[in-house]
Amino acid sequence: MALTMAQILQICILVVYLVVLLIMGKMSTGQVKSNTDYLLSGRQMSWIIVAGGLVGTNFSGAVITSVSNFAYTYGLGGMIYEGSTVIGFLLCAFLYAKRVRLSGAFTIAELFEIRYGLNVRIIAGFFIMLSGISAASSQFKAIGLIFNSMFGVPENVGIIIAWVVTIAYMTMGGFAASNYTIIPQMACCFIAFPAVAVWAIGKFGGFETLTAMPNLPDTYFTLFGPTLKLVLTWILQWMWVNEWGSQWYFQRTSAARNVKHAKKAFVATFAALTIMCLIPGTLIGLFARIAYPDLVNAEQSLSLMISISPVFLGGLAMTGVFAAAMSTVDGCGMGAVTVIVRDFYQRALGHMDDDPKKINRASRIVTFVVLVVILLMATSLQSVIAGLNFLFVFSSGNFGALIAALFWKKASKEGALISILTAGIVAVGWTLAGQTIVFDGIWWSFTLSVTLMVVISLIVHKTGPWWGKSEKPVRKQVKDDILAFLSNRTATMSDFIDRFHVNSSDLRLAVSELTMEGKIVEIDYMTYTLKEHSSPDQVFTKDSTVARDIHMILVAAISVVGLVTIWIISH
Amino acid sequence: MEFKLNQEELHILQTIKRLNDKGEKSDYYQVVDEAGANTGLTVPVISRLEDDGYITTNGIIYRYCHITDKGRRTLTENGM
Repeated sequence: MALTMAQILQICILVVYLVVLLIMGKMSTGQVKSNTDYLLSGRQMSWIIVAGGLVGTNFSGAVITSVSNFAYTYGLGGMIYEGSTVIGFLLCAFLYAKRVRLSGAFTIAELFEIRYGLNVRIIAGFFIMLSGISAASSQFKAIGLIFNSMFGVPENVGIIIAWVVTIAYMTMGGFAASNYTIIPQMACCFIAFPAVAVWAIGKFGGFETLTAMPNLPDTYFTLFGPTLKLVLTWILQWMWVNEWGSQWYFQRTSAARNVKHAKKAFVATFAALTIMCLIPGTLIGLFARIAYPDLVNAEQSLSLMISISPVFLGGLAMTGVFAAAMSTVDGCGMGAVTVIVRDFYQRALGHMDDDPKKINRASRIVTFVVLVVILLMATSLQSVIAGLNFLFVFSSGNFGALIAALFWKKASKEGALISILTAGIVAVGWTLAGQTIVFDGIWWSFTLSVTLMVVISLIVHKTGPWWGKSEKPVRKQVKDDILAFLSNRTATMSDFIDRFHVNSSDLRLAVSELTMEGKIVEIDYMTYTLKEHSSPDQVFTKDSTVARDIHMILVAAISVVGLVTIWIISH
Repeated sequence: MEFKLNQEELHILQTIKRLNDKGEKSDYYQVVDEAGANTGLTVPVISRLEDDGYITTNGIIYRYCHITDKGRRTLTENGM
């Protein structure tokens, strides 16, 4: 295989980038002294780093390729695809960031234990782990494709090179490494794609040439190019399920310094993705229509434009696509690792009180094993899309239980367990049966998870618990510790999780018993103070009003209308 | 309602003051090291000190802690 001078230059840029990743991974090793450090980077992340992580995880090689592809095919209407994502992140700043950060849970499954108990945590954790592995595998597959199309090497060679680098920096620094390596990754993406877009505008005669092109569809310069079915599915997948159902966004939100940093991070993510992905990806796709008017596979529009751009720009953009994929791999992989360590190893297998060094060692071993599984799956995947389909199928079943855990006091463990199991099984069955040709399995899992959660919780509110009526009394020491901790401060569930090495069920029961005994009161979402330190008007009742019941019923009704609409359109 | 700091919080605050006064770096991990504390357990202490205005924090990659006038006053009142 003879490489051209341009290819050698591009490889040099890539090698420099990989060396920087390894150095940053090594630098973050020294910070890891506790499990909070390894899995949440000590909750010290500034909004810029959290935003870098959110952008890096969302902005994958597959995403920028799709943005360009849809712009090429549908014109301006293709923007709805990535537009859904950026609006979704903006909504998260106002609806999601505060409550997730205050909960302080390491994983979505841990939040479920705080609200619903251990059974729900284990079941949800299982689906979340699978979604993380699917997402990371599809990104390794995308890296293999990049190597193959740029240098002509077999896909698996590219996958293994990326895998070796990833395993090196992730086992060294864990979540801290994953976060800090975001800096070179994002710097690369931030420059590369806007630069290629600007070059394309100049090279192909600007917007006048584009609008004067013959044979473009009538809707090309409107938002009505894509079909209604496609638009609805994009909105569901990318505006809601992707952001809310993903462990990797939850974990990064939980790692923020405080609520203010978490909120700012989501607003910054909205801005960054608009500047580095939505606008340049769309422009590259539109101008590829001039450069290559008769492309059979529009997915090639991005890589073809990169291949004809100036050498340095091409090298930077190729490294950018590679960086985008790597940052998604480590974010999703770390999500799966956190679930296994925190939910299964520590919680289910009873290692909550282990020495931090022992847990860190276990975390590193789990990271290695998870990455081996991801490697095996990546090398056997048929396509990138196949992996992404499973990501959504596995993560969307938790959606109903999650929004209820964050916003609704009437949410019940019965509703959570039944909705997660039913939604997960039906959606996986639908996908494995090949029915995604009719419509995406995510519609089933979303509708079932929300509807069952709301309906069953309302019934349980009338009938009382269906199981687990008499829970084991919580240890007195836990309650005493909480009371002592609250003696001179208010504190959130996040503080309790960091402070007391007890399981989430004990924390939930202790807080619940102390509230019922009238010793503490909740003054904001999962924020507590001693009764004598509060006034009656401070009590947090927002999530237990009739208005909130109506909000939840409306969400369930919207999900049913969505499913019926998709069903009618598809048949 | 304004709460008083307990001994552990005062100790961390004093460590931050000492590092600030010596002009040494006062990122979270350095503070925890100097105070002989545990990185995980100290997260709520630093949060509380910042929320109640005893310290401010900044920094993009590391979280640097800086004692405020209120923090200095509190240490003086406690004879530290």
